[in-house]
Amino acid sequence: MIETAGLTKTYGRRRAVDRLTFRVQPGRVTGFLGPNGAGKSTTIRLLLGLDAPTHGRALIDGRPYRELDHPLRQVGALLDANAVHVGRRARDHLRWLAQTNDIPRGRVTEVLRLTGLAEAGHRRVGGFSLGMKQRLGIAAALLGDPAVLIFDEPVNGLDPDGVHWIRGLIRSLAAEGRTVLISSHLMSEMQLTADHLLILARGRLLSDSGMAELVGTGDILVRTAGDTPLAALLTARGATVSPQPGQALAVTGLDPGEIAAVAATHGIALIELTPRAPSLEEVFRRITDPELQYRAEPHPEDAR
Amino acid sequence: MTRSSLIAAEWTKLRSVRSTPSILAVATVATIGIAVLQAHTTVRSWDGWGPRARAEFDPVFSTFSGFQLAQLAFGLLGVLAVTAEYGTGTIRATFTATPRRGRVLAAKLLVVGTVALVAGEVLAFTSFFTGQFVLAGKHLDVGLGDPNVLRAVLGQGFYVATVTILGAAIGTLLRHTAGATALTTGLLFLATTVLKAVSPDDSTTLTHWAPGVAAEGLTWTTFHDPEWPTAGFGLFVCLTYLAVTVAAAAWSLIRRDV
Repeated sequence: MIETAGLTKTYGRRRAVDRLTFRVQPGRVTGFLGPNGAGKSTTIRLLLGLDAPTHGRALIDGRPYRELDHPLRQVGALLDANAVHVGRRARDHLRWLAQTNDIPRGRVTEVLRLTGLAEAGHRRVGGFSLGMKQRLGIAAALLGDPAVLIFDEPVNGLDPDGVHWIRGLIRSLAAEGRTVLISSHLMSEMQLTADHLLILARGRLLSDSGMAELVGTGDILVRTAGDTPLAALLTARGATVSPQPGQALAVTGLDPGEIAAVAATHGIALIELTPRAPSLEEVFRRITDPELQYRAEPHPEDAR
Repeated sequence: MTRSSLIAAEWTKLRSVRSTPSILAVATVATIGIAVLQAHTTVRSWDGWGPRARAEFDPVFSTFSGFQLAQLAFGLLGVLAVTAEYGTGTIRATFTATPRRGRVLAAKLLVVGTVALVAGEVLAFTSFFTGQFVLAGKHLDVGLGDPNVLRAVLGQGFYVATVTILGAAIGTLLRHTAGATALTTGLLFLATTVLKAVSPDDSTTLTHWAPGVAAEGLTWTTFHDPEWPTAGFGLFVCLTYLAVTVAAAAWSLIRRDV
């Protein structure tokens, strides 16, 4: 299990990570989602003891990473796939890693096979494509057969086959009861892979919830002809309304019948009324960009 | 994790990149080639030398001038052992595998230092024997049993290891290949000139602290230039450089974020 409490990292005056408190549970895939610069990579570096936190704690199975005796046997991490010496053969890269943590030599061959690099092990990493380097990074993460896995942007640079492969791998690692944390800024990928989501923006944790409860309810797209007071009217009825391009509104909190009734009462013509399947992208935009959102609290002028 | 596992890992790292054999090849060609050339030139022109030049001739020191070039190669070996990890990002894998950074540095310095010491001694003895073999043509050679000779040959190999560890420590402090190479080279070649420029006339107090001058103190045999320190002081200077730079490297490595 991964656990942080009040985790904070400041660089100069900038807070890259701001009082993060969360737990990553075993047996499911936890997605770490946020725009570039949200603090995902910094958090991962703090988890791995590469950077020291300014305040707070980051624990792996109850202990700070820097106190682990054989860290590769407890935590496997994929950071930047390009962070490998290009002049070294893939097998030698894995061999020295294995040696540091007293992992048997045979495991190197095993993880090379597991990641589809059995034939490429003797080649120097400089000749690898980004996808192959990504596989090598995953091979390194799996080397110690760890119970905790942390993958930073694991689908980067993979071709469609590779993406399919890693999705399956991540799902099966979680199904085996391991703790799996994957970071990404790709929402469609997250929606397919993660069971639970931590949403991060500007270093702060904005949401910590299951995928189903997060995107569970969709919304209704309402389009009217020309400018109408419909948004205010629906908000007054307790709906949450956010404007969409092309005179449209995304509405939650009322069903299509109720929306139609409000429109009819006020003589507003609807040209579209479409219930939409939930989209993580929408949810994410709503959570990370509060300015886009009209709050449900009625404004004084709406109350009249 | 045990110390021997870390040493094994650092050994794998060092021998699995191409720069290591290339650097050692350059050092081999430079030292042995120049020893033979230098000795050959001396033998050929000896009859034309004046009494002063003959008095100042040192059969060991003069055939070791290839180490001037080789020390650059060894300094680079030390620098690259560290900065190549920062440059490629491998350092993050290194510290996630072994969060106790002091142990990583100790293992790395031990491995690269041992390789440099063994290579340095092999090159020193090989250069010595080939150089003396050529000098024997004019009966100018000395043997290992002659005064100061064994100390000079061992001292040359030791100096090579010192330079290598110095490079690795500076690499750890600066983290960039270009900067660390420039500083290491500057220390090896320019320190003598700079210290001489800031010294009062005829004072050797400061110049004895230039690594290059310390090396001269370690490797003379039959002729001792009055500007050189004693071998004992040369050794002391080398050990001081090692202690200070390695301590600074360890301090910075443990405290800074990667």
